[in-house]
Amino acid sequence: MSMNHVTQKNFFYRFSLVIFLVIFSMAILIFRLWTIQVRDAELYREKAENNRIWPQRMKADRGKILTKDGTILADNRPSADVIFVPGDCPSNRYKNVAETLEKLINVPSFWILEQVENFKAEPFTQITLKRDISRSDWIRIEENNFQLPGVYVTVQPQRRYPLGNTAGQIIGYINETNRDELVLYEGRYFPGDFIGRSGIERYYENILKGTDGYMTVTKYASGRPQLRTDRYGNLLLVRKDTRGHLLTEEAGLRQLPTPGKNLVLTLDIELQKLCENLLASQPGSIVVLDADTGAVLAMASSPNYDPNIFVTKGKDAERLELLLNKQPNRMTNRAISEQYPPGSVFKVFLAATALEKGVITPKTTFFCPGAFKIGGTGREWKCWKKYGHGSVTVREALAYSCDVFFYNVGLKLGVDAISEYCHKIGLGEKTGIDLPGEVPGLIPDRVWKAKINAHKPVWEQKWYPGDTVNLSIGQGSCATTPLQNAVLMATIINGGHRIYPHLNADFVPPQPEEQIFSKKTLETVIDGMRLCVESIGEARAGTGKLAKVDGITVIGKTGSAQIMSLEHHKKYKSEEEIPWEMRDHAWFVAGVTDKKPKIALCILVEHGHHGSSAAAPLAQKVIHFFYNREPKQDIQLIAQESIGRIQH
Amino acid sequence: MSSIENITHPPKIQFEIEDSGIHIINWRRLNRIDPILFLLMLILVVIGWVNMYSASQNEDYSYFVKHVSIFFISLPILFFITMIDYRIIIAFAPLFYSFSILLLVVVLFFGVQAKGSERWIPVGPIRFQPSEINKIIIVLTLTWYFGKIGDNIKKLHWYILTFIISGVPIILIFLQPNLGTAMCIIPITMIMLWIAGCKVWHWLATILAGVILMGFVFFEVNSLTPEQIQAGEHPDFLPLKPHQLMRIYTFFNPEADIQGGGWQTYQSRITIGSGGINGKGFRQGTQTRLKYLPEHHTDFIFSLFAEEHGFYKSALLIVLYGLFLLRCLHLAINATELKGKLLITGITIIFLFHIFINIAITMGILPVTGLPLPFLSWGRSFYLTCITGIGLIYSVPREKSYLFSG
Repeated sequence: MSMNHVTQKNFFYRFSLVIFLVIFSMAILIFRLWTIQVRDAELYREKAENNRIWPQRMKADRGKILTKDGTILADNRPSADVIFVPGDCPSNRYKNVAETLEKLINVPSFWILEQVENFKAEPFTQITLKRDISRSDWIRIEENNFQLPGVYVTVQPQRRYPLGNTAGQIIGYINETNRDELVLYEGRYFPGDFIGRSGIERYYENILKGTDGYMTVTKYASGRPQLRTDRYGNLLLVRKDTRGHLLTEEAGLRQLPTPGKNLVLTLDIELQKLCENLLASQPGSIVVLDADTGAVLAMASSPNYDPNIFVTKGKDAERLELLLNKQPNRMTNRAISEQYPPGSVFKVFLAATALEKGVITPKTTFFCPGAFKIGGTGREWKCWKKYGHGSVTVREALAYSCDVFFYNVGLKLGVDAISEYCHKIGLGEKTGIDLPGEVPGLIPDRVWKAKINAHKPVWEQKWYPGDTVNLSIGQGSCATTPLQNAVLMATIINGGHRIYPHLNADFVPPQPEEQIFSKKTLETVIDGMRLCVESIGEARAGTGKLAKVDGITVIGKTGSAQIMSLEHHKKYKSEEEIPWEMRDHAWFVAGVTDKKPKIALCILVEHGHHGSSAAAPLAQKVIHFFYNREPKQDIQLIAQESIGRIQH
Repeated sequence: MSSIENITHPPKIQFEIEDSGIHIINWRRLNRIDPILFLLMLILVVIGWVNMYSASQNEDYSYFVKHVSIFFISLPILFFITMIDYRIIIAFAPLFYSFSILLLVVVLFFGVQAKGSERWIPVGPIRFQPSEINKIIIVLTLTWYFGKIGDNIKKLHWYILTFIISGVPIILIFLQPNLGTAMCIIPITMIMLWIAGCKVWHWLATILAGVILMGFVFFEVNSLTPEQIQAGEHPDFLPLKPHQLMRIYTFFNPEADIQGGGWQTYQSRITIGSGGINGKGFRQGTQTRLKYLPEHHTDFIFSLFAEEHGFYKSALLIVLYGLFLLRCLHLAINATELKGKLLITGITIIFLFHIFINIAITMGILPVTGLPLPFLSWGRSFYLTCITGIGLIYSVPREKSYLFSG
């Protein structure tokens, strides 16, 4: 106690250190505060915003697919999906919830727990447990919702194809995106999104999909967004903060989704149905084009499938069957994705080209003794009629499908001219129709032969007149699709213009190019094809006589594309004994010139044996129906109707 | 009291001593309450309330209600302690000390622990944390000790005995483990030794040794990888729990643990920084409201204040704390006895340590240790400790009496 007051001065010296310590400490704190809060304030503000702001995605509705008269080919219906948000459920109850769900809606509980484990890092992801549940399932879930925390039923759009099989291959279907696509289209597609897989759905994916929107919401540190919205921006789950205030979205940071556009197709759905019914179960295809515009009025391919089985629940068995059963493939659109030798149909092209080139005139005749030899020697090419047609003009050759006439024409014309005109019309090339999976077909020429035989001796690469002879009747390596033949037919009856077939009604065809065939040429060809259908007399009936329609001038040309040599056919006593898969493909191309609109059609019946018997009658029915049906009542075009309104 | 009888000294000091010397508890000692310190304390308390109101938004204001009520509960305690003769309290210090050591041993073996942090003894509904009041008891004990030995402090063995007195609770608290409180005792001991009048070179040598030790710890801890630390490895001389060692490691390597302690300071820095100069406004702190800021009502409450009120007011808060501490030191200088000076200084250092370390942690200049901020942070044990400390400061007689005496 002796130090009191005596060493007060000493204390000042000792205390000054402590005072300095206090002031120094506070100065450090204030300096540090200044660096964070003033100097680097912008940096930290940005970081805080990044923490907080979260763009909540709003999915766009997929566009509908319609026909011009308003028939809906594809639209969206509401479907109730069960979703699970792990973040809304206490983790110790996951197992309980999963087991309850297994009992209620029959989703394996181990799978649910697996999904929860997968999304551990993002506990506020909506995991879709079951799509499109039944009404009773929905009620059961709602009844038990007290023991199902984090389980919700949301209404999501579900694709629907109301017409089922009709035009199934054209419309195509949609399916969930897979992992590769998610990587490929990062930022555009997210898990659970649908993407067009085939047909129009795939080709016009960008138009139909629409643009996703977003709404900026704030989120908690745990990842829980402060508010949830449905896909249209309406609040699903209004959250209140602890003060009881309704939390609203951040002002001005909202981008509503743009729904996908409705797509109007040129299809005449009644005609399409008829064509599909005509083909019934036999594999084949019918293409009907508007000859002037190139609009596809019908494009039937048989057998076909119902795209609903890819988007609707409970169709797993059908889907599996469809995907595994390869022959005949129901998913192939035979009008564009399969190529066949055109056979005698090619004669139409050859006749027009020869007349146009001036190789023959309408009056030129060739004698058909039933067989043909180049230069009178060597290999013999037969005409389909054993004892020949005698002396025929081009009209008669088209009417009776005389092979020998066209062997001569082909040789006179030469392979280069044939190639040139094929290219002009679009034979052996993709027509550019707005569908995926089109094949180009093949019209052989010198370059192709040299290329395909490049590994073989030189003499194998050379083009021989015999190859031209084969090509003249559409045999050999020559192959076209039904659509290409329909395009050829359209070119014949529309005055010689190249057309571009299309399904989208908004398609604007390119400027009309040069006239490929002159009027004079076409008159002769059309006359010959008319004779093919109408016949000159009982004795000399045209091959397409079964396509005749009363009151309408139908022009046509049959075709029977061999897939086996005639020698092979000779092994069988009668035509009925030939096995189905070895029979000829039956072709029939037809057109109507004296009615509006002009239509061009091409019918293919796989292994139908004869174009005259298997394909021509179908053409008769199609044309008869098209021009003689009751005019349909005008249905208001509902294409402009806004999409995305789902009735709950 | 021989010097007091000396004629050269004014009689007012005599009055001071006499006034407090007769009764153990005397209400007249209330006139020792320093109005400026009391006012500063009240300002800080009110800021604490306002801030707690904002901080407890997410918890239905339960913390706010408790925070306000603990002040009114502790205010009579403050007055009561002020009325007690502080020499009596100091005289009982060895008893408190022994009792606290006993408590620490008990809590070490029978205490309840949560999340690997400090332990407490459940007394009914209250969780009593003996380590909090221990800080005060250490100050009292050292005051008693320095009062007893007087000038002998200049002798080395008495000097070293000081470290034994404070070393035992340090180790016991350290083992709890409560790194922050254990660390708190070191500056208390050092500053009190300095004020008590130890030899300067003793003191400087101790600090030098401490700095070397710290450097050694840094080197040893830094030689480990985070994985090793998580697996339970530690330097032989440093028996720390993985999470404590990790905190030290994270301090030296802030990127190492972005999810744990690193995440906390990172978010705290964002919270403070995003407040900017003007702040986001009262109760508008997004970082807090959306729960990005961890421990926003305890260890990181300063971040919340800085986020909502901006640079000027936050700096003002720090200045207020500084003034508060300086006022305490002023009272210490004016205390009539060495014991009083030591007591006040010791308590001031407790405050300084908590204020500085806490705010430094929120701004990322020190590793996370979990120290509360006086008057602002939630925590009733600590609040009571602070109020008790202020009561003790008031109970010390000073050369001037400000209240009631003109």
